[in-house]
Amino acid sequence: MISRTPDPRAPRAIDVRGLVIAAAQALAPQYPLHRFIARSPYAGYEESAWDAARLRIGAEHGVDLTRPEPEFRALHRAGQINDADLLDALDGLVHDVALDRILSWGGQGIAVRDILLCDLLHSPPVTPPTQTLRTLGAQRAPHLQARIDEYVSRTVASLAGHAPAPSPLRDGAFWESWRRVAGRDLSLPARVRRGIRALPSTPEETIARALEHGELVGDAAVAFLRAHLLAQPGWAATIADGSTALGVTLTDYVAVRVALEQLWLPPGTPSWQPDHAASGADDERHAARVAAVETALAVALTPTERAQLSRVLLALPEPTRIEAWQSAFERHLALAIAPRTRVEAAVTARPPAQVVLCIDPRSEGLRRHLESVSDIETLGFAGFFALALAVHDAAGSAAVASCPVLVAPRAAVHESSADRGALERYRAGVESLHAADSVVEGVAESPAAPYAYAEMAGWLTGPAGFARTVAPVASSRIATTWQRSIAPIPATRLDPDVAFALDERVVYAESALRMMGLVDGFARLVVLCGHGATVANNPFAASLQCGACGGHEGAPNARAAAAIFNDPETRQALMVRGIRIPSDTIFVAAQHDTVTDHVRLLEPWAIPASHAGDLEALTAALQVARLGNARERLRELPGTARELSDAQVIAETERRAADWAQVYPEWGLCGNVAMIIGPRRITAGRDLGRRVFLHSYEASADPDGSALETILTAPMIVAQWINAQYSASTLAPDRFGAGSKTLHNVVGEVGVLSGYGGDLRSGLPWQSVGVGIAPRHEPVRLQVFVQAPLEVVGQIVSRSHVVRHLVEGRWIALRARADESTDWSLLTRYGWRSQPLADAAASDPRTQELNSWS
Amino acid sequence: MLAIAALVRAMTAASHPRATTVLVAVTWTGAALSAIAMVQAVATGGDVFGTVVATLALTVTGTVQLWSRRHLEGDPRQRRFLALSSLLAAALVLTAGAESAPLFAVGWIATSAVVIGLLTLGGPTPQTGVALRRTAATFGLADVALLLAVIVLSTRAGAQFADAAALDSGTAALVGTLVAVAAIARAGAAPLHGWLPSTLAAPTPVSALLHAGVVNAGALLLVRFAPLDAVAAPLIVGIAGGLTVAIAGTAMLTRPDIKGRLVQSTAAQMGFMLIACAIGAYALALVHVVGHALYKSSRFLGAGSALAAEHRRASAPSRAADVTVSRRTRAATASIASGAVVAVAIAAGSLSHPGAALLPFIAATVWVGVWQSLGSRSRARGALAVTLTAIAGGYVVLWAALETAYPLTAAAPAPAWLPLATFALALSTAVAVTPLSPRAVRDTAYAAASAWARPPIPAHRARDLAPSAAPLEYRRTPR
Repeated sequence: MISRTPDPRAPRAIDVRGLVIAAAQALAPQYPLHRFIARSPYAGYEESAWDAARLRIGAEHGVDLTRPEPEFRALHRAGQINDADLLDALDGLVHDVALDRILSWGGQGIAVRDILLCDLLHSPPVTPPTQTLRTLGAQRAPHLQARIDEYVSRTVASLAGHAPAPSPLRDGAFWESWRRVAGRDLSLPARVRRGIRALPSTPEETIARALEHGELVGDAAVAFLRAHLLAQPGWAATIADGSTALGVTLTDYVAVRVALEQLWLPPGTPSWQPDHAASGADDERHAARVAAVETALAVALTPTERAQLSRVLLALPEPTRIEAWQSAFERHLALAIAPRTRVEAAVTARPPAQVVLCIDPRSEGLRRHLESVSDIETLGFAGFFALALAVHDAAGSAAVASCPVLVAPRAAVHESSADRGALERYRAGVESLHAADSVVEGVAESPAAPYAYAEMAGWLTGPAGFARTVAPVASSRIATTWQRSIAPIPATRLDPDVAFALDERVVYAESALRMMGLVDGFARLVVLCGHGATVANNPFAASLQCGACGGHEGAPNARAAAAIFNDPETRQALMVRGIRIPSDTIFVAAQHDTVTDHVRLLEPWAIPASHAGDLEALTAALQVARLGNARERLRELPGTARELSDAQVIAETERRAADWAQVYPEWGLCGNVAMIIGPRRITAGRDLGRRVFLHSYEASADPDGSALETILTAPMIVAQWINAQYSASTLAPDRFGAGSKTLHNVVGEVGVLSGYGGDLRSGLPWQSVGVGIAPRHEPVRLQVFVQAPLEVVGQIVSRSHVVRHLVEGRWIALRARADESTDWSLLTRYGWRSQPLADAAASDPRTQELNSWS
Repeated sequence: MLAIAALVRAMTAASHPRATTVLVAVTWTGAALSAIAMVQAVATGGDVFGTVVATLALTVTGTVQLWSRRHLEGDPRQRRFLALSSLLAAALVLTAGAESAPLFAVGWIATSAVVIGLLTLGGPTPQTGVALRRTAATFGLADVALLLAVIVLSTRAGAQFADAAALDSGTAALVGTLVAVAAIARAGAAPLHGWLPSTLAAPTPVSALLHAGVVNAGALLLVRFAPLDAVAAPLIVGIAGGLTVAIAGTAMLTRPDIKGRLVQSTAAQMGFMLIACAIGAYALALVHVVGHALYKSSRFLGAGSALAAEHRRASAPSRAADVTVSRRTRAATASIASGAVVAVAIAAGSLSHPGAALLPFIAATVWVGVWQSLGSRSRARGALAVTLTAIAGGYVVLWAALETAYPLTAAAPAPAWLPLATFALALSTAVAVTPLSPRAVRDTAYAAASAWARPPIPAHRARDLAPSAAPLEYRRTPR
């Protein structure tokens, strides 16, 4: 007889927390919306290979990682996938049968490749996945499950938002206050309330009892908890991001759900059993497939031949077939994007200026236009300029972490001014504006005061709303002028020289310059250009800002970096390390507004008169480039007249930036496909349609490969997140997208609901990835091209856990070549596979492929 | 004249469903005509209330339509929105301009029908289903009540509103009760409040129109039936309004979502408007309706800015170095300022009008405003407090002037203690959800206020979960 030892509580609590953590693998933590970062919603699945993960994601989330097969077939008919693409994909994915083998059926020779092509085109379509992981409530009593979801949603929202009256759940530890408040919540049935009051004193114990009650251990326990976490994945993912400080942990959250389910479902409900996918029809499906291929091949097969056909088809299981479609589609796009071979290296004189922009695909357009109107050289680098900063602005607001989200700020920089009087006036002005704001807020959201307030305020806000609607730009100018008159902005600078010691500055400067391959040939002006987006009335504003700056604008980083590069001591020390910045080279900080394409100089007061001429030429070139890029972008945005004059182009972009009714201020990173890591000359002169992350890299400037390692393990990961986020929001707009902006209902700083309640939305709004019922973004896995020695790339990949999983699991396609004269090879689990791309398509990518989705 | 304009508008909407520009132009033409009629009415002593409400409806609709042409870019239902919003304006104009009770009822019921149409623009989502069911049920009840009231009035006395004075007391009480039910439902007041929060399932511009145009019709109805000599109507309306001020006002304090706060705020504001009507302060109710409509429509259109505003507040600079004002001084100054505003009101002759009973509310606004101003660290806090008090002072003078200029009185108003009791009740329910009250009271009250008027979220249907190329709300029809 087995006697159970009495469970000491502590180990049990640890076990439960471990189970919750395991269950939470299915969630990608969601940052609050004010610092929205595009990130892969499947991050927790990326340890598995893509095809295996696809099945799990399908079962757990009910969404697919690709388009449905009929859409691929439509793309094939439209020529956006051709047979060569499909064969290349099959070549990479089918291992159990040789594609070149010829089978002799009925006196006819048929190649395996043709059989499989036939299968891809004519078999019954692969069925999209259905969600099988559901909670007990969803299985047995959907009506009660909906009430539990509603209650949980309301409870978490009251912690996440800022209601005028603070929630009593915030008094003390969550579990304790929740049991107290819920025990008094008259909206819950009396039976449930009594049960809540009698719950164990820790959430872990509550979960442990539920697991015991259902006799769930191991994987079944994880699945049970995961079903609860994924019942409302938005809230769970927000809680999973510990930085939001909601005061509730995932364990608390699961315990609440589990307890409510146990108490609320009618007594006698059978305990939870995992759903099983409807199976058993596999044989039938396979038979239908064999029949379909036979018909399409138009041959009459003997039973032996049919068995042979059946075996051939088994080499391409349905999940692999859908991946073949996806890979073929990606190859087709990769062909259009891939840098060509034998590029003439243009030897040029010293360029008038060098402009360093973010790797963001939106920079590609501005760079292309800037290069086409001048001899200015452009480079691509992560928009935080490799400076992880906590920025304190001149007004004294709370510090902003201006760096990628996974990096902790390295140093705190302060914005300040030598003119103390002006600074003081600015601060006082900002405080007055805040005071006025908090008075209005306080009156509008108080018990008895809003009544007279609303009718008084209406006479001001009503006409103001009308003015903002008919004249958005003028209204926003008036508002800005008014604010500036109260708080005039002084000339300020940042203090990286204080925040970083000399040796830190030198190490930084050297590694940054080597990473972008800029170690000699400095122009007189080197512009470090961050980016930001001016938008109005848009909760998703952060999604249009610089992802490398944690969803903020890149201005402070550009300013700090420029200050470091202009620092004479730093330059002196760089000389010793072999990087000589000429004394007539000055670094200038600027910011690219991705809505208006205006490039603003951030510290015009810091530029010496000796460079006034250079600056003038630069500004003129930027102005022309702005017009060209803005015109190109406007053509693709909904709601713009076809032909616009120069003045209209400027006016239209400014209107989009200032308009409170605007839901399409710009396309953001929609359409992103690839990342190219290499010198600009391999992509120069080509129109990549703002679809490519361009990271400057020169293998010769990076002898030990350390710069490349940084690029592949940091910016490339960020690019993959962005790519995965855009794809997920396009393919699963209801699960990993935030839906239409017009239904959005902001909750605090954390996110939006659609309509009056429900789960917190995650991902990008539909207006970021599509128009009407048509998606605009093309969901593909990130296609990475690296120009560097293959062995260096291979070593870096095998050293980095994360990158290796991405490459071997086929979450990205990583291609490399040593130099311009060789062709591309694709890195796979089995090593490098030569994949001639560079010269395959002599066509202009933009007119044939790129325009087809715009 | 207005009724004819409304019909013309409706016809235009039907015959040019694609010409969105024409629709917007027609709305603004209507607004201009209506404004002329309004000026005429003010000058010649015509129907000020009706023309003001009509002008308001057309102006707000015109602005929202201009806004939606860009906001609903790419939305598969943009054209339907523009057409339906034009129809809504037409129905509201018809209601406002109706000179007889039957015509009024036609406009009223047409409004209900168009609102249902507007709610379908939320797409085939489960939330839209809830909004449609709740709104249809509540509006159906209200419409039947109004229809019965109009039938009784027309058969017993006459089709004109003025004929209501001729009803005998029993019939008057019946008509009054029916009218009260209709007004309460339309204003989103308790106990017929459930529909308004669910309408958040519809796009933002629909909310802007509902909260700026549709909910106001209750005031119009009560004004039209002012000659009715039965205290039942004002009493029912006043009590419902008072309860709504207290409950919805408190629920608003517990809402973490911006639109949720706006909805509860509207319900409370309409409760306030019902009270003003109940005590016969029609001029003030009119001012409130217009001011609130302008305020709330722009708050809804700007609801997307809430995130940035919250973030701005959360990261606002704080400089401990500045001297702050003690709580006692803040309270004393706030009390003096609100006392001064009340004194101004009395000096302006407010006490001779029914609106005087609403003075505590404006005193509260001044009190909270001054308290908040002095709580800031800005050097401009004194100036802020003075400005606020001065504006409120000017406003009460305007109140008194309006009440004198438009002395429309109710035949049987509700007693003046109703607003005072409401004020006290609203304060106590609000205090109940704050840390000032005992823990058990606060927990219970907070939970109840959070759960108040929260529409259910129906269980997922299989087809909602099916993978799709476009978001659920854009799908054409349920599959």
